[in-house]
Amino acid sequence: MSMEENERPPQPAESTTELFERAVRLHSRRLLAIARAIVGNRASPEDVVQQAFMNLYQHRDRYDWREAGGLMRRTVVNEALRILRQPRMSVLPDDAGDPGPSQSPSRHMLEGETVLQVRRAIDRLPENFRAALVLCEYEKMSYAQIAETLDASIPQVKTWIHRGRRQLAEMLRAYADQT
Amino acid sequence: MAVNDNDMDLLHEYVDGELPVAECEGLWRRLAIEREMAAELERLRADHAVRAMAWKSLEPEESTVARLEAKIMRASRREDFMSWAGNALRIGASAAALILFGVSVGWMGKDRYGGAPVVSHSTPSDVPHTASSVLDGTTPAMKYNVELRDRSGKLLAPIQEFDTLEEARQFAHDVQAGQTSPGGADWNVEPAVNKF
Repeated sequence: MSMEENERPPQPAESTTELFERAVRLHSRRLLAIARAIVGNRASPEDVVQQAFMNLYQHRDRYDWREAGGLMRRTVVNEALRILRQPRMSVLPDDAGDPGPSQSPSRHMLEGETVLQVRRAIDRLPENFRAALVLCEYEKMSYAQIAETLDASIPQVKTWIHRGRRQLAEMLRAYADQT
Repeated sequence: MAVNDNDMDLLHEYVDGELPVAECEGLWRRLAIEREMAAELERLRADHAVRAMAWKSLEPEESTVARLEAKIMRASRREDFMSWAGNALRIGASAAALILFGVSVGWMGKDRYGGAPVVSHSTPSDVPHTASSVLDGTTPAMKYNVELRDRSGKLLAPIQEFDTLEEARQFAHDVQAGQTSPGGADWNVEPAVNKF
């Protein structure tokens, strides 16, 4: 895992709370992106990540916080999927309109529109497809690691990823033809 | 010739870096000769690049991350406090339960052992006296008596009173010696020294 490789070796005297806070600072950005990819606009990704972290913190003495990346990722994914399986609540405003800086205004607009369409298409995928895709393509996890994170088999994960891509391609075909 | 589902799965695994090296070599040979398969691979890679932009756009801004981290830190400190308060409450409740248990045991024991501790009832006036009366010197002096009874327990003579234990023991010894000496009286008496 790239995240674990970047982790600073912990100081021997660091308490569980200090290790937890360091892990939060190290992983919160990417985990927030994962939560956002999975829950889309059905829930607040910040709430998902915060709830996942607090679930872990309540049982903080059980875990090794020096290498908490995998644990935190699994907990955030499970919390996001758990929230999606609850009865649907209010839909949050879509903030997909700002894909980041680009070279020129027109290219910015084109890329922004493309990203918006892709994100909307991703949002329409079944939740397991979305989770498997974000872990595969954004987190660069292997099929085996994704299977472990999602508590599924490797063939199931392959199916989710391959079908997810196929469905995305079909959904985006109309948009691609227009542009 | 269209690319079938099995070949598509092969291409997906190749793009994800999941295809074993041995199978990669076979795939490369096919890609060199099968144009549709090579075109499909290019399409997959292009889609992958577009999705990479979408994934990147999901990354939050610094202010969002900082706000989330602050919320988590606050929540974790609140959790620490609640955990500490819970422990303190448990310890306090345990201490209170122990104190209550001790008081209850003491209250029940009070009735069994009476009020003020009684040192002795064996005073000549038969009036109970307390530890405080012993300490302040108002307790009457101890006396000793010797009862002379036969083996059936019948009192044979008036009770003899003595001021000291030595005197009482000496008297009892003399009575026994008088019984057992040759030519002594056959009283068949068992002297008993009592303190009162």
